Amino acid sequence: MAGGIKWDEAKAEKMRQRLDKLAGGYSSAAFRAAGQVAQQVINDAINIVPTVPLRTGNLRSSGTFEVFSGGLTWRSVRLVVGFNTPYAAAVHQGGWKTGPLAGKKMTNWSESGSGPYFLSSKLQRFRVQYVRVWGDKVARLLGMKP
Amino acid sequence: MTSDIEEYQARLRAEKPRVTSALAVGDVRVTRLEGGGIGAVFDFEFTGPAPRLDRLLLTRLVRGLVALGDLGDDRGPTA
Repeated sequence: MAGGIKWDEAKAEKMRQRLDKLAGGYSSAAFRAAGQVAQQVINDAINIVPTVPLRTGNLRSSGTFEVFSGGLTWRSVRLVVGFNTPYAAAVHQGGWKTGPLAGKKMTNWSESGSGPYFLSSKLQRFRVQYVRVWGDKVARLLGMKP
Repeated sequence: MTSDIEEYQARLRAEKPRVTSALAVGDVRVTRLEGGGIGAVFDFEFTGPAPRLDRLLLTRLVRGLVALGDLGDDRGPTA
């Protein structure tokens, strides 16, 4: 066979590694920045009124987050942050709507300033700030001026 | 409870579907986590110029493609 395509496996691998390094640099920055936002969201939920109600401490200590890559573009990441005790959503909404405790409202909060909507209220107030923090952090990690 | 969350999500979407800053955009919403938890979902996208990064990626890609294929003569593999 005359001619044909010569595939240089070594060069292809090298290029793949370079691309991975570049994309990995961005990905790493995006993940680290998302982790920082997650910490801030959890801290704000716990410390700013309405704070996370405290009885056993399980709810407050169940703050957790996970970051996922992908999305529509290589510049996107998804952060899921919250409180994962089984009753966190019920406390957040101030009562149960389903199950054996359906209709029961929570009113006797353990601390003044604590109460329902401890997470959603912070998103309402600080969502622009959270997005800004993420973008600035990514920029800094990539060596750009935020 | 779920309907509360859905209502909140709908309100957020209605008010301002995407939050923007100088360098990023984000969708922010509340969600119920598996097992009864409550969480927030952020879909972040970096919109900063990152010219160096994009240019580097493009350059690497072009160079890589050139390096990958030595097409030999133009009669193709079956000639």
